[in-house]
Amino acid sequence: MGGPMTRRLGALIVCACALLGGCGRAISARAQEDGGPVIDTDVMAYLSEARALHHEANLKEDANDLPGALVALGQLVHARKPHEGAAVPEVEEVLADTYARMAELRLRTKDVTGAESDARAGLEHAPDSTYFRGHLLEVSGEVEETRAAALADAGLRDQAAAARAKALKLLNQAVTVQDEVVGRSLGGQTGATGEGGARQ
Amino acid sequence: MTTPKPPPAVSLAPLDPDAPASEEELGQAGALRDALADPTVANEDAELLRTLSLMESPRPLGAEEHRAILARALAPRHAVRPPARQGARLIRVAFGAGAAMLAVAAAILLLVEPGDLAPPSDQTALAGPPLARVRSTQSLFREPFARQGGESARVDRIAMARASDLRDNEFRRWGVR
Repeated sequence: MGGPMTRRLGALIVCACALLGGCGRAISARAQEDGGPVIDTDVMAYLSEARALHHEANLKEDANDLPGALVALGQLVHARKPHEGAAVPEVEEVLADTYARMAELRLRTKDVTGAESDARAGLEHAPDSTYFRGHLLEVSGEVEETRAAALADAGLRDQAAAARAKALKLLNQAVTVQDEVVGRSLGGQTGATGEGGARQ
Repeated sequence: MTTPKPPPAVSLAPLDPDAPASEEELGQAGALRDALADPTVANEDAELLRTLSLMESPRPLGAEEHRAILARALAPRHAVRPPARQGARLIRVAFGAGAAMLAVAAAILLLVEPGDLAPPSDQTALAGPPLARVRSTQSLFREPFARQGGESARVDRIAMARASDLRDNEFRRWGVR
């Protein structure tokens, strides 16, 4: 084959690859537009595992074994997720709620730093205005409230006041989010302007 | 000025099926019999009957007749054509290579991104109502969560609701609903 023939063949191959690449992207885009994955046994297996681990934590908690309960819940937040790379709201919301429970348990074990860390991790799984986010903001407020009490007991009045102010802010945000969600479920009636609302 | 011709007289007398055959009918019957006995005799009615008979039970082609049909069908392809030019051959090679590349690339696309293409079990391959997809569980809860606790009960509710969705999906895939 001569030079012109090689060039023609090369151009044809490039066109073919570009065409197929475009088709591939179009198919991917269409798959995304269709919504998340179909509920399948992978999603159900994860939810079943979550349920079992929460019940295990219940049993440990009933036996006053709070560290044991935290181990069970820790196993859940580190478990493999179904459809890695795809958004699965069920998984995200279960994780958000599990972190909220872990934060509550850590507060009961006086681990304020650990509780704050768990509440923050939970909020990353609940970025939208949902009861899950509202609950996590509420737990975060409680964490700051507990911190303020501990600081006040230690005689650190300024730091205690700052923690109290932060607790109030977080609790107000929680109320705002809950108000938004209730308003949505009642048909679009909202009683607040946003998460950082002016409710005092 | 011309006078219009009267229409031909039409006998309104009913036909009698048991009436004896006329001379004309006897003549036509004899011609049909002769034409059926000898295919070389031209007769429209005999042709029609022969065609119907062949449609019902076609006879095998004779070797000579078969060869003649093939020769007629293939004659244009065997006609003498001018020798192919070098450029035309190159274009054919290029298109052949391009088609091969397309086929290979399509195969790679199917192998590398199988998740992007709806599997046969997915709802794109199904008629009827769509399969349940993952979505927020917010609608399962009608009021703000309790200040403390309740997570385990919420996970129970989520798992049970989605188990129901999964069952529905399976039934739809199996065509039960």
